Amino acid sequence: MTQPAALQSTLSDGDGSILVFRFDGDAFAIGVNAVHEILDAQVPTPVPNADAFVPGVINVRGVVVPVLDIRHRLDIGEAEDTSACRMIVVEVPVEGIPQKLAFLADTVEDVIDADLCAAEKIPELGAIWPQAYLLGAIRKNNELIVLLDTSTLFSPKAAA
Amino acid sequence: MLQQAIEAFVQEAGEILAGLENSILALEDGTDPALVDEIFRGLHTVKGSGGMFGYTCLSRFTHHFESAFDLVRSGQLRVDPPLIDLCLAARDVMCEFIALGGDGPVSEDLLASERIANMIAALSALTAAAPDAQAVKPLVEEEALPEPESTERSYSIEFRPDANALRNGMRPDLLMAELGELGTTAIHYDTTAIPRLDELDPTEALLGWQVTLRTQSSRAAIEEVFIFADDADLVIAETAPAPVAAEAEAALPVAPVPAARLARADAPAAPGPTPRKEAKSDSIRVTSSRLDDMMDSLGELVIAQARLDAVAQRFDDPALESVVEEMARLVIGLRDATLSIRMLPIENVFAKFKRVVRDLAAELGKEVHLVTEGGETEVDKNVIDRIGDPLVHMIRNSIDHGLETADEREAAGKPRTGTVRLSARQEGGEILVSIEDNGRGLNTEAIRNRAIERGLIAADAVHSERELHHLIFEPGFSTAAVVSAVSGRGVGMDAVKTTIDALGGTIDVLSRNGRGSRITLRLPVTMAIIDGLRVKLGPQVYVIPLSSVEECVELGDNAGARRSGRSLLEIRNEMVPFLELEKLFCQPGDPQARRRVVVVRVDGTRVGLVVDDILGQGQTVIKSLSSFHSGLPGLGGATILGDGRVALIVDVATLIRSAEVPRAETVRRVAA
Amino acid sequence: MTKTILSVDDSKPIRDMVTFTLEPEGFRVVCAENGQDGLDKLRAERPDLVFTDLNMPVMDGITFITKARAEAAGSGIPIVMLTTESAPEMKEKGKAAGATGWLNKPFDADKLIAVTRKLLG
Repeated sequence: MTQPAALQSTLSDGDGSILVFRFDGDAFAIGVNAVHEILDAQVPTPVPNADAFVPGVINVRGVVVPVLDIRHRLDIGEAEDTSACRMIVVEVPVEGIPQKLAFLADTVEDVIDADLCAAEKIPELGAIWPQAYLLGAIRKNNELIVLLDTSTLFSPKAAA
Repeated sequence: MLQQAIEAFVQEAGEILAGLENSILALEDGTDPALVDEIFRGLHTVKGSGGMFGYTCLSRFTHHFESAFDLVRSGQLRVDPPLIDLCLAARDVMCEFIALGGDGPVSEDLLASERIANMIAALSALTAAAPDAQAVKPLVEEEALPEPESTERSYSIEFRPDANALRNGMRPDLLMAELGELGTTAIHYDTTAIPRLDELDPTEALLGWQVTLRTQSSRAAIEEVFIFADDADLVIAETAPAPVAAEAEAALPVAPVPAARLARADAPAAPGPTPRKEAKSDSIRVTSSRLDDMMDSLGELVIAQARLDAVAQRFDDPALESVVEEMARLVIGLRDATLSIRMLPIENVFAKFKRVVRDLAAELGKEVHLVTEGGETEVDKNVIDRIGDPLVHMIRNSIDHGLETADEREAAGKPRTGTVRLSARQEGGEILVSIEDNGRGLNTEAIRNRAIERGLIAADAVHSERELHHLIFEPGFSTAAVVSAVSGRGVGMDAVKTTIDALGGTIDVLSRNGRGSRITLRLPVTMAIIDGLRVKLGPQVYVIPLSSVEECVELGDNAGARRSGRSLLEIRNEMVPFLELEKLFCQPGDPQARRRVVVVRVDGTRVGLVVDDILGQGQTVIKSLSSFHSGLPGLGGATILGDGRVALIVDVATLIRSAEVPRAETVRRVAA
Repeated sequence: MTKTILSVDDSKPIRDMVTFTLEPEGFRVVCAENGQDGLDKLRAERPDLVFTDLNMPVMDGITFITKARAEAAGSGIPIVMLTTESAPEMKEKGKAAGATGWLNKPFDADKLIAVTRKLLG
């Protein structure tokens, strides 16, 4: 599992700001510097025969941006109601080239300053999500926020 | 400034070097003085600017090349094949220096390497061997041609500097000394403008000069002395004709030029510029990234235009409509103008091949003549940038595998020298590039055996020659070793096909046993904006490139006939197979829809695509799909519709091919 | 006495070229990266000849020439502007500001030496 120092550098260059969002009530977060903007949910254009992880594309200010199904990747079942969903647009390197990507989250909460040194390992057995996409977890107001690893989470290839 | 200057230099040097290669190769056809001058100028420029922009190693190397080539220019060195080889090799070394990105230890090492040292020694040997090389070498710039000796003339020069000249750093004494170097001078001062001492400003230039100069130098040389004194009053007049002046010169104006400030711009010094130079001054050079930016902005504009159009339709206001129409017209004009800026003659790519052919022919010991046609055909820069490698590949294959050796050719009753013909022409929205050779042609039997061996076709399957020839583009078809053995083509031909597919182009092969073969590439003229047909399938809109659309018909009750698993449609007594887009794309259509058929042409065959409805046609800005979606069959990109939604662009060729894949797989299983 | 040449240019390759070309010719070369820097060096180094670029950050060449001419150190010395064919109007502006002469870019070492010799004798 990633050590806190490495974790901090993965998340951001020095500051511990993270964006918190939820799937089925569970809190997840990514480093805020990967986040480009947050939009209202829009219906993606389906891409025929595409991988289930990247079922469609949307238009973000004239750029055709692939929409990733993070729920699919994290083995979380389909959302029941997507009407209140938010679209998070991130800009991350994909195969070395910075690309805009979008994904739906049930709700988006604040950007918070997290004490990343206090990040905990997620026990191998206790986690219901695939370990490869997780960096660790931090505790905030008696709740566990799962930090996602953007380098594997947004990779075109699913982690083994 | 710094980086830009260096980039500009690198770009300029790249262009010069590309030109050099052609010019040097052209020396094989004869030593045209204009050509020699062009090569010399190119070398001179690279040497000069190289030193200015951090490429001193390049500059130092080029100096030797230039010196040697100067001998060619002065007629002391004859151009022969070994010299051309040396020049080409030296030119390649210059490219290496450019590729190293400027001075540094690596460049120093390269310059000091044995290989380069040997080359410099070879170049220097030429200089040293030339008779009186140093003595004959002109020491002055070429424009300052020495006049015949007998023409000593007498000039009267009146010079009155601008009042600020001294404050601005002019030194009249130095100018007079310079004049003195041209010949013998008699100098008189004009002091009339000098006031009384108490009114004198010593920093003001008040003195005038009246000089009589006897010299063999030209008027231009005198003007050169006063080059920076362009704000002075200067009159240069020839006072007496030279005693032994040639008759022709009697026609020259002898009268003094009018007393006016000498305009530098029309100084009649140098002979008129060559036509080539003129063409250059009419054009400006921009980095291609700026063109790409411009194209992006234009793309946005086209999309915004489509949106405006959609919005305007909701209002039914004639005034608004007329403005929108006007806008649409202007945008199309701007689009065409922008696209035309990006068009380059395909000659730029063809030029590379002369060298490839020459080198390869030498390497393989074959006699090859390369013919190029239609080099002036213009193609979008993006297409040009990407077809170079595939074309090189195919030409290599033609020479390596297609053409026979000279002896084999003679035995077959053909001329000893084989011909590779590279041609281009425009046909509608497509560019046709073909590579043709008069070699042995594709060995159909060898291809069939190979394909059976690789499980690409069934052993007992019946295929036309054409189908078999196309197998050379199949990914599994060949490896280099195998292909050489079967004397066919195919080294990386699948890579060629991949590139051409990515460009939205198609490949066609025509081969006659023993007579040669021809591979034709059909490429889109441009890749950025296409005319597209918008079609509807369920809630989604797709765009089919209009260039592949032949016609649209109603499906109606026409369909139904199903043969060999394919649906057929009768259009004017012709049976056309059709495919349902909803099945190919696994996207549900609207069961209530009218169902219409878009007939497209792929690889020479007509195929219908069934869609829910046809919405209309219009300009489509192609946006490429991300790596998450690249390589999906049937998709050639995406575009943004007037309402802001994304529509996918259908790549007809890969779509149809993907529809045929299952059959191929069945065949393969049977073969196994 | 060794003559001093001031090269005012934001482009290092150009400054280097002036330095490497003129030092072997027996001149001392000092460099400045922009017009402001140029004025400071002008006062401190008292050059015999100045080469200045026109398009520079902080202070452009025209301003530099104008200000240099108003200085004791800059009055009467040759100031050569580095011009380009593509902007002939700059040559006029430079002359009006007090430039002695010009040198069109790109130039080679020979031209640079020739102009230096022409203006310094």
